[in-house]
Amino acid sequence: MNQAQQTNITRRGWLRTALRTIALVGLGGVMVGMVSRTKRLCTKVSSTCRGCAKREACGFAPPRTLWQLDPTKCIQCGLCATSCVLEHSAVRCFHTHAQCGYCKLCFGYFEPGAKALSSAAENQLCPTGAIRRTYIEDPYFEIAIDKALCIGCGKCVHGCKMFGNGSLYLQIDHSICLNCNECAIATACPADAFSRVPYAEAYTKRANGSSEA
Amino acid sequence: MNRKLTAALIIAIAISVSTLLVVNKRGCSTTSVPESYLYSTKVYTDAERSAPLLYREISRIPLSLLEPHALTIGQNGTIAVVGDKALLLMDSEGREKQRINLDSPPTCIAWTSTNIFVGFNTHIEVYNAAGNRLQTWQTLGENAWLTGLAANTNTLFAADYGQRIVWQFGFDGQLLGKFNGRGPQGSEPGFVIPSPYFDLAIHNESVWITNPGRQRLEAYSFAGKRLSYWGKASTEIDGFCGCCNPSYIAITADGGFVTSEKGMPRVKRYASDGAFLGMVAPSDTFPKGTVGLDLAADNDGIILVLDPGSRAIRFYAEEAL
Amino acid sequence: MRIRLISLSIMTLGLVLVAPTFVSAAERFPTPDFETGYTLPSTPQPAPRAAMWEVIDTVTLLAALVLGAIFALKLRSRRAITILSLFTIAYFGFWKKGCICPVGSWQNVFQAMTDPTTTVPTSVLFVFALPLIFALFFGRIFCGAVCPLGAIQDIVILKPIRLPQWLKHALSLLPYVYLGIAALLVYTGTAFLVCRYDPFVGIYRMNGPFWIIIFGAALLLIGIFVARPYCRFLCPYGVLLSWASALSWRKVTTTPTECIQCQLCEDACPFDAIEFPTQATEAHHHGLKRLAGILLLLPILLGFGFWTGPHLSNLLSKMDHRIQLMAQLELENSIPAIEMNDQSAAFRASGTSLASLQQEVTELQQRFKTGGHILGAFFGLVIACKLAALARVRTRTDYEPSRTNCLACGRCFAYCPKEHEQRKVGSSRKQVVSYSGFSHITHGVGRASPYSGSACIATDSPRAPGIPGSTSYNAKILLPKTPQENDE
Repeated sequence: MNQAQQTNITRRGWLRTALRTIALVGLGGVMVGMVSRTKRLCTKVSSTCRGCAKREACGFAPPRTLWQLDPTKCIQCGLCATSCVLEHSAVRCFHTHAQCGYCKLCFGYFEPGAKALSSAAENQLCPTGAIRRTYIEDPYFEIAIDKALCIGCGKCVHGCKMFGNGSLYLQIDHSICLNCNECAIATACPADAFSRVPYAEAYTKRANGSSEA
Repeated sequence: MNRKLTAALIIAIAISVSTLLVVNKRGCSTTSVPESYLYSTKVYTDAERSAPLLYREISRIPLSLLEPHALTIGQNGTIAVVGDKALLLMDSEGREKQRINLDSPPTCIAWTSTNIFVGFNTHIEVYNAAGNRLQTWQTLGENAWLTGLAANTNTLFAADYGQRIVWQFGFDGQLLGKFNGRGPQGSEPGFVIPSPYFDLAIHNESVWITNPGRQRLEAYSFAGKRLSYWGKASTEIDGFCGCCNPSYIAITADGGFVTSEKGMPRVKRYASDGAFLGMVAPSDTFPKGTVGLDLAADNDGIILVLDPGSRAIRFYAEEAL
Repeated sequence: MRIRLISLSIMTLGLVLVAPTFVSAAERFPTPDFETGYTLPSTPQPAPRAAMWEVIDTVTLLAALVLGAIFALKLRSRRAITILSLFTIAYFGFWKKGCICPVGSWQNVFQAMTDPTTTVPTSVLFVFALPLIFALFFGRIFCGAVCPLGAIQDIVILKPIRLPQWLKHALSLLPYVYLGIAALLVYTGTAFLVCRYDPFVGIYRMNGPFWIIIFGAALLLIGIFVARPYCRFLCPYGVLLSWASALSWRKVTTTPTECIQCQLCEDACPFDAIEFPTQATEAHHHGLKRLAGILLLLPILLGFGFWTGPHLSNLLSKMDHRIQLMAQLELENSIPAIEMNDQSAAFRASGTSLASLQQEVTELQQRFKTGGHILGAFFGLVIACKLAALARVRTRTDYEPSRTNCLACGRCFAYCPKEHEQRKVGSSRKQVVSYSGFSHITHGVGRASPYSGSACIATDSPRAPGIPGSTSYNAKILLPKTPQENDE
């Protein structure tokens, strides 16, 4: 290698070092900026806030969020059952027993036009038989969802919302959900019912529109 | 070289086969939904189509209320509607004559020849036709939720969904009795009311109370004795669909019944013995999810239906045969 | 993002207006009076993955990167890198189901940078930054064995072919296109494109949209012959890594010591990332003229890109669900006979005002327009830089892996005689004929059996096509048994 090439290489080396330093500083700046923004946003609400439930208060999306389905927007289109990247969808049916009417003729359980009020498969609404109907006392029956069988299709939710008290609702089961960066169900949902919420809020949306924990 | 190519082919086949297996057996996520996941109300709409349509809508008057809850008819065709935090008095043409502001959201109303009774969640207030408050009655319990009022010349009945009983008052506010619907032996479950739709109406000397969880109407004497009942749950048009219907009732001058339902929002007409006569308003005339179709029937055979979805009162007259 | 704030407040307002219906529904539904003493069960709230796991995953990533750097630069062991790749496929691939990965994490960081109302979880920040930091120091170590998408492509490389150079350079523009489009869609809040069209995550989850799985399988099938197609021709994060790697402090070299120009590594790299020695074959001023021409072209390209960008972004805006909803509503309003689809029906039922959606859509379209301009200019810049890079002929005397394209896989080590010197050859005969390297596009070059003694095969095969300035291929494959026989 001649002198010219040698100089070229050294010059290149210096340029590289300089640009590398700038790149590192830039990267470091972005990281520090992001982390401090997180801390700053959280403490705006309270000094101990760590990604709170009061999203509207500070107006910012806190870090460490989970996907959540808003049952008040849900139209029970059935896409929750088919769009999830998991084979068995992470969306399942949940039941707020305090809102249930315990009706003998439960319209979240029975197919419209069911011949008899029995648990025979042709009378049941649920395509996977995931609802358990238990006699309590006359004329009250308890409805419970078997999570292992529920696929999150929302058929029972539709019946309950339409004819009943709306105590059944769809929600994401976070012990199963992968918390994908881009939720396939959220993309497919026609009612725009999915949003990212802080960990504390993940189950708070209820079918009746309240947000109690 | 052959070895490489063979290995490449084997890997290619392996990838293709495993892809096909993944795609077929374990399935792909898809944006198409099988029929079995979708709720169908076809059985109800089919049943409706087979029923005779006895009435037609003759007019509709808009209401200046965001959330109308109940309506009733007074003398000479005047109409009273409660909703939001107000009581509206209108004439028979639908023109608003008076708007009285109330302290809390009202839920039900009854109008006798002398007074207007306005029911709230936990108590009842009495107004006169000029709109002045005459009395405020006692609170009926912190769980009380009045959803229906009916009155004749001297007795007022109040349907309490929250405590699942029917109160009986004199016009001065004196409590005369309570109906719990448990039947003569007191062994029946009583009024089964899953959701806040519990209505009643007076005809002759009996009061008809809905028992929505059992899909029937029950008649009681003023002394509290159950006289009779009719109604059944059915997907056929003559029965009541849903888990808690009928939501509202009204009694016509001939003793026949008008019922409204929720879930499949529709208004039906029954004879005085409970025989199904025909439709007043089928479900496709109401927007999906309509609830709160309070009813009133005047002496000329016109049926008034409160439509909270369009914030209006609809008038129905019998279709000429 | 201001859009989000405004839309959030407007929707809250909209919800408040229809709140009465919700409020009354949220009132008590007194449960039946149970006489048998039945107590109401509570609704379970299954807990998500513990937050600690995010830390563990980040630390594992760091450890894998450190190991990758050691294996590629210090130990120089292809076997170790292969084992690390298998670990990556198992852990970052099948166990973690491929999300969240560095390849997509830049979108979250970019979103946080363009929308001051959002932030990025710290673990995601590290997942984004660690491979870049390592690239700044050691080259594309991440690509070598730590990327789950790369590793799965890597293990299917069997008969890699060398693409014609013009094709290779043309395809190498695609990652910039992908990066630009994905960045635009993050800016407008439309989608995380890299996540949505990730071809291999469907394989790791063993479920996913049909066409994405087919796409992934197709890439793997292609990958048997065209090594690492996604990494070389699609990966947007690879663009950032190549920029960082161009500045790296240390780089992967084929030879551990010095290059002796033996040409044995010419076919070693399945990704065609080894740069050959070149000679300046033209006068200096010709090169300057060409460079000047390209510099003149730069503003034209930039301008053209700036001007045409919004056309592209307008097309992309059709992907946004809010714009789709608006289009559907307008269609329904103009043609009453059109049936509502689920989306418009849900919108009408939700009570949100059309005016608020209209405003949101207007702001979105403005974002698409601005973003389109920038995107177009960016594409113009990329093309100009590519032309400039192609025009420049740097004098090089050694064979060295390209800083930007080398994926630190370590396959070329075994081709270098100096490497064998260092390893004190004995059992290295297995490594001499490793299963990578280009298949013979020149006929007649035999591959000596690994168990024979030295075999010299010289042919005058035609010049390997497509490689500018390369000397005619004259292979001498030496299989030294003892170190002394190694010298040419």
